[in-house]
Amino acid sequence: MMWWRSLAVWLFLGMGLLCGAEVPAPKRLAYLVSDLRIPFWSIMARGIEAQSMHQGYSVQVYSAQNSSKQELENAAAAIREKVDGIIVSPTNSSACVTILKMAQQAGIPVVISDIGTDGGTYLSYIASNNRDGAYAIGQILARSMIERGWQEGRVGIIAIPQKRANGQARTAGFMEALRLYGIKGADIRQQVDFSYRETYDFARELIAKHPDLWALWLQGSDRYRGALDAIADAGKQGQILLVCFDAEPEFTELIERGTLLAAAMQQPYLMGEEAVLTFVRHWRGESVIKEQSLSVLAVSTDTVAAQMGTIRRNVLGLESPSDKAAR
Amino acid sequence: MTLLKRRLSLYTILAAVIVVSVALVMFVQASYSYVTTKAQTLARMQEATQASIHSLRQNMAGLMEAYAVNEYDLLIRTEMERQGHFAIVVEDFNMGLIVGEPAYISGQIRHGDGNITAFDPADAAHQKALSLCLWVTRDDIFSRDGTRMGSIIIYNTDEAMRRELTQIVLSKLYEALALAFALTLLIVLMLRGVVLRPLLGMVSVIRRRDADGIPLRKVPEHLSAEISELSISMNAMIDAIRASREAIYARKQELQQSNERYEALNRELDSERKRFMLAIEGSQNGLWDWDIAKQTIFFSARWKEMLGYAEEEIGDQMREWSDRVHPLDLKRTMKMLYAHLRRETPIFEARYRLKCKNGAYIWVLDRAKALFDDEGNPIRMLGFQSDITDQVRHQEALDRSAKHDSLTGLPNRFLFSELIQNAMHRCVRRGKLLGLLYIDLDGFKEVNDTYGHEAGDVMLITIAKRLAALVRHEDVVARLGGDEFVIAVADLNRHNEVRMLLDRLLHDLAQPILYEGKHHLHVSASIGVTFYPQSRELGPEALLRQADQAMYTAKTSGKNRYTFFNVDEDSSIKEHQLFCATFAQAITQGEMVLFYQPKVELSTGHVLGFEALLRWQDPQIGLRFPDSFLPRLQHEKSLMLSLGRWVFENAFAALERWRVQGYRFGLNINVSAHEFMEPQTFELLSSLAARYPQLEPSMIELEILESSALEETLQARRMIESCRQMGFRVALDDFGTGYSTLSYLKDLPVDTIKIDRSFVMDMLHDSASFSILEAALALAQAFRREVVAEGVESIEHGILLQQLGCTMAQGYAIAKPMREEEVASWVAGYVGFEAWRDVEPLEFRDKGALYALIEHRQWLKRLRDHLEDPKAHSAPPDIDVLECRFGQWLAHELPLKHYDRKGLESIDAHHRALHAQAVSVLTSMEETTVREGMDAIEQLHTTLCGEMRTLMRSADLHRA
Repeated sequence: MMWWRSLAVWLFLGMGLLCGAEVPAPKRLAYLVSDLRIPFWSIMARGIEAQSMHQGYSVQVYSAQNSSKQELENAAAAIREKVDGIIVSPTNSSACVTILKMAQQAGIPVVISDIGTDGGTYLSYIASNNRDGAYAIGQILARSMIERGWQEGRVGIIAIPQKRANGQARTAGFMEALRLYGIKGADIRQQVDFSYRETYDFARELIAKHPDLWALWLQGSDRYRGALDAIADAGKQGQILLVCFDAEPEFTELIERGTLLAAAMQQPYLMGEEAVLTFVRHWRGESVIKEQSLSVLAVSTDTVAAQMGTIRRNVLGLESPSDKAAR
Repeated sequence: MTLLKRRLSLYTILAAVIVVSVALVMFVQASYSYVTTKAQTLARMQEATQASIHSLRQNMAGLMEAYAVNEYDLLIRTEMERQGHFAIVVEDFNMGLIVGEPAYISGQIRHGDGNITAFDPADAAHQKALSLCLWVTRDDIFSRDGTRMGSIIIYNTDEAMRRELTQIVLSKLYEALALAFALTLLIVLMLRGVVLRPLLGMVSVIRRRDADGIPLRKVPEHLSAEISELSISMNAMIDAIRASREAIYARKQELQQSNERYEALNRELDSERKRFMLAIEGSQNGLWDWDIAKQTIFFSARWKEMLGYAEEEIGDQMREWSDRVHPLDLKRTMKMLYAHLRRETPIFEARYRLKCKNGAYIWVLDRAKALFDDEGNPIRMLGFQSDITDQVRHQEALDRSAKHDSLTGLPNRFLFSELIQNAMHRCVRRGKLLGLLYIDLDGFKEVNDTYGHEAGDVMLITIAKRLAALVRHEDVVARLGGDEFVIAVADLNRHNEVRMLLDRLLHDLAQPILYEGKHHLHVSASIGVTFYPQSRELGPEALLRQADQAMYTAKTSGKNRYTFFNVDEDSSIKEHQLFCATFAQAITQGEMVLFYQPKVELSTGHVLGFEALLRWQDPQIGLRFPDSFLPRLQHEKSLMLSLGRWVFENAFAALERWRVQGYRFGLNINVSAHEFMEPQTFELLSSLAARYPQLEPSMIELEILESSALEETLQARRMIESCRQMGFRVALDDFGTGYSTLSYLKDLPVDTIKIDRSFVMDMLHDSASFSILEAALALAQAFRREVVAEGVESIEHGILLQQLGCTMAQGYAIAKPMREEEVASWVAGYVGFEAWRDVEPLEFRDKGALYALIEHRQWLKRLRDHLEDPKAHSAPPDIDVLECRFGQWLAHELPLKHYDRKGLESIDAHHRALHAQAVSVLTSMEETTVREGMDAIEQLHTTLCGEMRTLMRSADLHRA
């Protein structure tokens, strides 16, 4: 009997050893982000953290505070930590190249979430579909102007730097929508320092220069106040429509109130999630889409209510309890 | 052809030359480019490296400070792309701090394919590539505060340089190939167009050759000078070859023709040789051939026969000839022979005497010519010898008859003039006196009338002998004519020395002369005497006139005496001076007139020219002939020169007028001895030639008297040559009347000989005149002179002259001298005489017939004279038909076959009938019978003459 007992013990131990060898170590991710102080990135970090947690991965978030040196130090630190994967939202696409190079030398796969890179090797690049989003917001504006009988009016643009790929895509999509409806563009100003003053001045210049300016499109979201103030200061409140790209927490209310006609809202939370899911698919041995494009939500007065749930989760990172439960 | 095929084409050679040349040039150029490019490339790379270092150091500092690794990586890449570095490696100390290394090493490296990739310091291949670099340039990068932030290391390899150099070499190679190809193509095309095509054209032309290998066509010319020069040269060569070939062909043809001619000539020569031998035999000339080297001489049989020897009697040594030459002739003949052997004379021609076998001498004319070797030595001499004994005798007789009185044998007037001239010169030279005695017989006419002419002749002969007996050897006795004699007594010291002789003359001449043994003929002498020299110069004629005048004084003073001419009372001098003054005035007053007598070609009637003949239209006397005044002016030199000038000027003017009228006549102008010896005459001729430039001097022939020319032969020869040099012709006038000899005629280079009219006029019935004429013509022909006969007064004259070979003549039968204004109408109307046409010269043998005919005419004349005046011509001609010369000729010719026998027989019959008629006439006393007989004789004579002409003509035709 003892033989049977000893055999059973050894079998148990052996199986136990076998079973213990198959249990993988939890994956460790590092998220190199340019500046967590910016809501967009912090929402994205939350999405990464939420999905990592959901997948059982550990994730270390490194914010560079918008410093290239810090960003490189963060990258070096993550590499020294020998993380399994790196998600990077770089300070700029050029700095990303060095990060990718360092990671490649260390053999660590990298998923780029937004901003993009000027080169280097990476696993996947996840970005918003800026063109489609801009096209959608353009349609909303054009229709609104036509509805108001302002189809002869012109549209001024205060753009993010057009050197950026996302800036070019946004302009292109927006203008295509205007051409579709026969609305003429008036002029374009490119933001440099993304300050309030800059946005205000650009808005005032456009309004002053073009008497037939009936709308302004702001390609960013954070300095929308400068544009609104400029319209107000120009005495054109209610006479000039304002549409924005991206979103601020107060946008839903402003849209609902009509202060903003519409906004094209990226979904940073969803992007963070998709970055982690990409590693999941990678490590599972599944094929990974190299360039992933996520839709931008075109939210107008008419649709804001219906889209509010999506906006809160994917845009604002405000995950509801039901979501958590579902996950 | 095989050799040509084995040779490379010019194209191939040109292509090879071009390719090799281009390759060489390109190789040199490529080598040079390689070296220079390498140096330049190295320098450029160094410059580029320094520039890159400088640029990167400036631009990267900021990026390093900003940790913009990708940015400076891009900068490095851009710099590499721009400057072509192999690798740029950056050591970033700041980044080194971040990654925990001394330095963060990054950079760009160029792959083998040229692509630039990121440098991986961990890549062994990258490290190896860096270690192989040619040179490495390093520099540090400092921050703005001077902190060393890192380093830039630029790696350069020679790969790019090698590539570039290889590229250069390859490009040069391709360039060379392309250039060679293009050059070859271009040059070949150009050469083909410019050189080869013309050359091939030439080759094509040259290939098409005729059977002699000479191109058929000319080589085409081309634009380029050299090819054109070549073409021209080749064409010239082809032309020259063609001309040469044509010349060869022509020469060949000529040679063929020459051969044919040569053969024909050979045949002809053979025939000629036979004829020559026959001619030699026929000519009766002896032939001798002297082999000078062997010193042997060949004498022909005829030569020996001429001397009376048989063939074997004369050997082949020179002495056979020299021993037989007359001693008096030997020296002269040998001198002439050696002169010829020394080549001083073109031929050897000598007249000398040779001794015959019988001891007598014969005169021979020897003509020979020597052959010389290359060194001028005589090697052979060939000669002909003819027996001229008869000719010499004849000439001697001729001379004698011309200069001596045929009755008495004394010199006649002509010879006396010559002799007294010599005597005058001699006396002056010796300071002696010459006495001239003019003798006229008193009572001679009475003797003649009483006893007849024969008695007169006997008397004259006797008187001549007495005169000759009385004078010395150096004195001269002559008969002037009739009963007038003259004696020139030479070398007198005083006038009175002649008186002794005069006395003896009066005495001896008064002695009776026995005639026919029974009659004593008595005459005396009246003698006129004058002396020379005198106070004034005078000639023989004047001297004779003085003596004549003195003789006349003696005769009128009672005869049988002598009278000395009184010079102081000489009326003839005054008369002569008066005459000269009158004549001089006549010249200036235009009383002189020129008449023109035509000179024609007998056979055609063609008018050859005119002779200008002087006439004096004397207002007192009428038209005077030159005979009446010129002899009196013979010694008046200035007058004669004035007259000559007038004649020349008027004759030239007349000839110019004829020329203007379209006539092309020659004009003969007589020149006096004074004129001929006077230089002024030649100046006058020269000025007249200049005055009438349209007149050719050869149209004018100057006639000089034979006697004038002979006085001073050397001077005359010079004058004649001067005239001929001026272009004028010269004629020797009155030929035959002077003392003509071969040597004289030979020495005078005259163009024409004019035979004196006296011989021509008498030739028909006087065999002596005929002989003289024949001899004169023979002389003229021998010396190749033209001959003009003067005094042609009948048709017969013209015929006979032509038969003797004389073709030009003048005389009354043609026209009398006429005035200038009559010339044109006469020329228009003159057509010549039919009988003179087609008269051929007679052969040698026919001259015998001619002589016979002349003898016959002479016989007939004697018959007529006898019948007309039996007293004056007491002896009739031989009436025996076999005694007369014509009968003898007929008897000689009848057995021979030279003439048509029937013709001869008919002539013989007529001749016999004529003699029979003559017998009946001479024996009849009936005047009617005589007249009728003479008519019959004249008729028979005319028939006989016609038959003779026919006979000779038919013989000529037969021989032709």
